[in-house]
This record gives sequence, structure tokens and C-alpha cells, in this order.
Amino acid sequence: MRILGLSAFGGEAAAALIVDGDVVAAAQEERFSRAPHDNSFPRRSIRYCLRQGGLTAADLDYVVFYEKPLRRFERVLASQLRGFPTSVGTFGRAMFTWLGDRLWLKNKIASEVGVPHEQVLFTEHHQAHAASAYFPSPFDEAAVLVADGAGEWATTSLHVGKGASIEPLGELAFPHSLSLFHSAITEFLGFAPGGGEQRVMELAAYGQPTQADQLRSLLNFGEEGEFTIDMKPFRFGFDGERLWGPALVETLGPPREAGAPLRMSGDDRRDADLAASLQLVVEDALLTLVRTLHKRAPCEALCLAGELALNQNAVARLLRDGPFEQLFVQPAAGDAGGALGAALWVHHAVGEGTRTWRQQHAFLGEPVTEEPADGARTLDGDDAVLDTLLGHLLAGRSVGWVRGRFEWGPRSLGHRSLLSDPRGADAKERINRAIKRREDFRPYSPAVPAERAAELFELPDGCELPLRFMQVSVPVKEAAREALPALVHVDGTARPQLVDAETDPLFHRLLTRFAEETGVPALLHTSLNLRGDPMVRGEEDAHALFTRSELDALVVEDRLYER
Amino acid sequence: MGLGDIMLRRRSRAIWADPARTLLTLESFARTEEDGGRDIATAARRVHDSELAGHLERHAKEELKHAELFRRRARALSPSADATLAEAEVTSDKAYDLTRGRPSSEVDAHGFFTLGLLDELGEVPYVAMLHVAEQRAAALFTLHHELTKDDPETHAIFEEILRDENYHVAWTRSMLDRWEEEGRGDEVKKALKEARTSRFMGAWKRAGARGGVVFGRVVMTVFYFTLMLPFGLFARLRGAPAARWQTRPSPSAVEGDPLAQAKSQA
Repeated sequence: MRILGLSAFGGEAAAALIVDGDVVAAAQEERFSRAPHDNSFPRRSIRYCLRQGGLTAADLDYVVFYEKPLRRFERVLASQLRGFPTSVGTFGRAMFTWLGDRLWLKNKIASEVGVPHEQVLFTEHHQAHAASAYFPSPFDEAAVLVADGAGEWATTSLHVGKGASIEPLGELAFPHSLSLFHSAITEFLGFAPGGGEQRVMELAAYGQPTQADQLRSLLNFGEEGEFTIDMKPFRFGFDGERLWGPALVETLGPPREAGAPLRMSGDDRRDADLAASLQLVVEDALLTLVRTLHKRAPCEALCLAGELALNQNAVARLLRDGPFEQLFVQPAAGDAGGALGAALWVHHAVGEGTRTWRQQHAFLGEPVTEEPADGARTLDGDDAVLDTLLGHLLAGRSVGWVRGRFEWGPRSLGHRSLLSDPRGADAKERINRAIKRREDFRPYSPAVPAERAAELFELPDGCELPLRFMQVSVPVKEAAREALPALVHVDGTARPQLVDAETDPLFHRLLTRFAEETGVPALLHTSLNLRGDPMVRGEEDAHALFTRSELDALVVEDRLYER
Repeated sequence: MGLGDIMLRRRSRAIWADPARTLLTLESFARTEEDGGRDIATAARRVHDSELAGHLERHAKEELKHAELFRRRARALSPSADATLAEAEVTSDKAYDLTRGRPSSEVDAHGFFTLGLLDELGEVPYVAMLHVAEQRAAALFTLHHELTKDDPETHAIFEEILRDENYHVAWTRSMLDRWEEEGRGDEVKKALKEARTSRFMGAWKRAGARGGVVFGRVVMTVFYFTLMLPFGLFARLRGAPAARWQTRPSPSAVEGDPLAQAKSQA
């Protein structure tokens, strides 16, 4: 059975193709359109998926969208009404969007993709997320937590996966959403919601949770692990401009304007303290939820999806203090993952239902297909590629490395990467200045050979895949902190990617050879993009980045670009 | 000076008076120039006429240089290391994003509705399109050049870019003239007309769409305070639903047919 899964109009738009249960292709639209967090209809991703699978629309059995549009419309309308009369400003806009386009989604999908209407299906938003977390996991039985903004009505849901099916255990309804709560405070801190949450998590390390009590007072948990959010300070439902209202200022003090200096050092650490408070409160809340889930589904393993599953510190805390022993997090845990989950759900619930595919890597995107740009020099095989990369790295230069299929999900895992020698205090500053232009408080991640990671980090048990997908923050050992200051966050943690010799032999060889030369089994590793841009798609994007930045060299497959 | 020019001048003046909008505008210009540069670089690799390829190559390099000049200036004017253009963009006006009001997937780097450019259009229409776009860009940058006299560094950037833009207008004109001399006058005239019409039609459609949106909002507001009023009051009095774990039947248990459930949009 050939199933195309789609997500759009919420978080990130994406498409995923599965054929007889195997995932053939999956990609976010932003990689093709170059619009960060693009949530428009994923035309380009669809084209790519079909091309990768060697299929046409006529070959598809089903196209499945990751949400029930009518139920979501019900929620939007109810929220607008509940906000009466304050919602007058957004009512027209919401109705325009829905009456003009979104309510006719079945027609749109059928005509855009080119399939008959009866082949267009819809899953529930949280069903899709749960499926994206459980079916690719290595577990035959697992509890599943989805903590997301809001789909149709559900914001938080509990499930249990057994064999080839997933049973829902319970869900909390909008507007009580932990993820929206997190996004609202993110916005209050002057960062864009739907992208700035990661920065707030990183900022948290610079502060103390001095405002945790104020935040806790807005979030009340019941006896069965359910929670309510005091909605007075928030505007989740009807205000399209902002997620918070004036009452939040009374509770937390004045907000930080976007672009204003961050208060995170010296005597005034208010922004960092609020970020730390938020991180603590969200971690505590997630911990309560997973304990509730464990009571209902006492399994060994936990699968996570939804926006909050991208919070690496929270994932680490759940593993450390939670009741589950093993963990899997969908690499595209946000809405993009819904495209994959929707397709997997249809395969298992509607199709033959056998679980044939377990996710071992995230290289599901498009391979490098473009022709070389001017000035490329061809390298003779993998050894020459590794020699070249190593030469540049040992000389203290930053290198872009583009090869194979691009990554599924928000993190670069070695196929669209920027690499640098992590030794020396200026490594981070060098990358920042030349290419990434990130805020100074944000750390970079190390890539390490999986078998040597324990030399550098205190690794938790039960999260082999999350470590491979860079989804957990871990404490850095004391000796390594001194040797690799660029890779250690201010709280002594790092977010490493453990590179496995089996799933990515070339990257593993590079890391091993770098370790042989330097004694350091790690490289500074980050996504190949400029600030605010999506990760590069292929050679053309990478070469454009090379010309725009001060990147020292670029290797695309077996081609080298140097200055 | 037409009404459109007066409005443009007022908006442009407001931009350079507001540091946040200045940054956004510089970044937006950088993006547009960069996108244009990439398109043109692609075109340069595909054309067979060596003179045209040479012009396109230089043009592409200059567009990328402009992007870098705008970006550097934006960085220099950025008030602090953590001032993020991407964040500010969320809340601020994107007045000078040439894709404004249209899905980015439907416009090219110069704000035209067509896609595919050289491959789709062919050499003559492509150069005609560039010619029209560069004329407009030159006019726009002339205005900004004039309005940034108080900021010598930005002013100097516009001055440098204007020199290049004038070359871009000149080389595209010379190519079109050459083709005319070679007996392709009708083709050139048609291409220029279509390029100008495309822009005119784009403006017309945008104006229509904006007018429709305004009218629709008025209708919706009336609707909101009449038909929706009782429902709104009822919903407000009822308040938000209590937070409790709700359990849905498992998909496999619904109607005994997951496919039927999946076909439903509700």
C-alpha cells in the first residue's frame, strides 16, 4: 500500500511517503521553499516524495492529512465565540481563512495531488503525533505522550502502543495546553513562538528559577494528572497577534521587547531567571504527566511527540526522574512529524497493519541532485573527502559538509553540517562570526563516535536513539569541560550527537580519524544554514551559503569548494 | 508625481526614521537581491549566447554583492548582538518585501507572478523581464538613496548599488536592442509588453485582493455583532471547558471501520 502523509497550515508543512510500511521519503516544505517554518501546502515536498519513490499520484492508494479540519474549525469558532467581543479583530481573519480555503481541504488535496476524493483521508492531530512516535520506535509495547500546542481540541494526550496498534488513554482539551503556555512565555521573553522555544531553553541555563512560583500559580494540576491553565493572562484562543495579555505583566513584570538586550548577566538576570523558571515548571509538569501515563500504561518504554518533545533538557529530566526506563522521541517531533504519523497510522489501522519499519536514521530527505557550481574541484573517493575535511579541520578552518539525503526533522545530523575543531576557547566565536551569527548564549553541539561518548559525557541508559538524534542534553565530564569549552553549555551540559558506525560510517570515520590526530573524539557540529534560514537543501543552497558567508571550505559529495 | 509615488515616498521616509524598520528593510533588500542573484546565476549557466552569459554572470555577482552590502549594514546598525531580525520581522511591517501580499511560491525574486524564469520563458522574455524589474529597482533605490542622506554609510551603499543597477538596465536594454537589430523586434516588443503587463496585472490583482479583504472584514464584523452575538454571549457565559482526561473510543472500535472514520473530516 502506498500512502502519502501531509501536514500543513499549523506548524511546519511536510510530506512523507510510505510504501508497504517502509518510509521511502519524508521532508519539510521549508527545505524546498526556503521560507523558515513554512506551513503552506507542501507542494514541493509532495513532488519530491513521489519522485523519490518513483511514483505518480495515480500510484497512490491514499493521501492522508494529519488533522480533522471540521473539528479544528469547530474549535476555532468556539474560541472566537468564547472571546466575544474582544475577538472581533480576529474573527474576520479566521473566518476568511477557514471559509475561503481550509474547510475545502479535501478538494484542495485531491486537486493539488491529483487523486480522487475518496482516496483522501484524515487522521486526528494527536493520533498522527502518537503514530509518529510509536510506530518508528524500537519498542513492541510503549506508553506514548503527545504534548503539543493544539490540534483539533486535544492539547495533551496519552496513548499506549502494543504491536501494530495504538489505543488512546485520555486527552486534555484546548485551551489547557502546556506547549502553548511555553510558547506564550517564550513570546513574553521577546522570542518568536514556534521557533524561539529552543533559545529560551538554552537561555534558562543562565538563570535561577526565581519566578517558578508565579508560573506555577498559573498552572494547576488535579489529582489525576490533569491540569488547567489560568487563562486570564493568556490569549490562546482568539487573539492572532499575541499569546499573552496584560494580566501576565501584572504577574511577571514587564516583558522583553524583541531585539532588546537580554537581561542574563550581572545584577539583572531577569530574562534568564524567567527562562529558568519556565524550564523548571514545564519539566515538572511533563514529569507529572508521564507519571500519570505510567500509572495508566505501566510499560518500560516511553515514546514522545509534540512540540515539547523537542526540549532536550526536559527529555533528559523525564529520563532521569521519570518512571520509564527507555525512551524514543520522533526526530520530527513537531507538526512536520504529523505527516509521517498520519501515513503510518493509515498503514497500520487501514492497511495490512504489519510493523516493518523501525527508524534507525533520519536521512529521509532529498539527495544532492544539482550540478556543481563553478569552481568545484573533484575529490577522488571517500578517502580523499575525509583527508580534505580533516586537513581543513586540523588547520582550524570551518567546513560545510553536504552529502546524501537531507535530514528529517529540525536537527542536522551530519548530512547538511557545518564542522569545526572544537578545541580552543574561540571555536564558538569563530563559527558565530563567520557563519551562524547566533546569539552568544547559545551553545553548539558535539558529534562523537558512539563508542567513545562515555569518555566525554555522563550518558543515561535507555536512550540510544535519542542520543543518535541529538534529542537529549547530558552532563559533560569534568575533564572534557576544560578541553572542549566551545561545546559545553554554561550549566555543564551538552547536546551530543552520537554517531554510529553502522548507520553513518563516513561521518564515524571522520570523527575517528580526527580523534586519532588530536586525541579528541568530538567535532563541533551544527546545521549548515545562516541565521534565520532553513538548513541548506543541496549543492545550490550550500554554494550560495558559501559565497555569502566566511565559511572556509565546502565539500558537497566528492566536490570541494575553497576560497 | 502620482498618488502611488507619494505614498511610497511617505512609507520610505518612515522606514529610515525607525531603526527597527530600517533593519528589516535592509534585510528584506538583502534577501531580494540574493534571490535575484541566484536566479540569474542559474540562468547564466544555461544560456548559450556568450555575451548574454557574460552579462548575466556579472549581474548575478553584483546582486549577491548587494545582498552582502545590505546585510553588513543591517549588522552594523543592529543595536545588540541578540537583536534578531527574524524575530522582529514577526511583528513588523514587511513593506519592502517584494513578495508582499502574495504567496512566495507564486512569485519570482523580482516580484513577478511567473515561475521557472529562463527555462520557462526563454531568453528574450527573461531579459525583458529583467529589464523591467531593474528599471523599477533603480527607481526605488534612487528614492532610498535620496532619503538616506543623513546616514552617510547607508547612502553610500545605495550609491554603489545604483551604479550597478544602471548598468543592469543598460545591458538588458543593449541585449534587447541587439535582438531587435537581428530581426526579432516583434518578439522583443511582445516580451517587454508582457513583462510590464505582468507587473501591472500583479499590482491590479493585489489591489483587488486587498480591497476584497477590507470589504470582507467589514461584512464579517457586521456578522459578528449581529448573528454571532447570541452565540458569543452564550459561549462566554458558559466559559472554558473543565480540564479533565477525556477518553475517545479507540480508532479500531469506531464503527468497526477505521477507513470510514479516516474518510470523515470531523
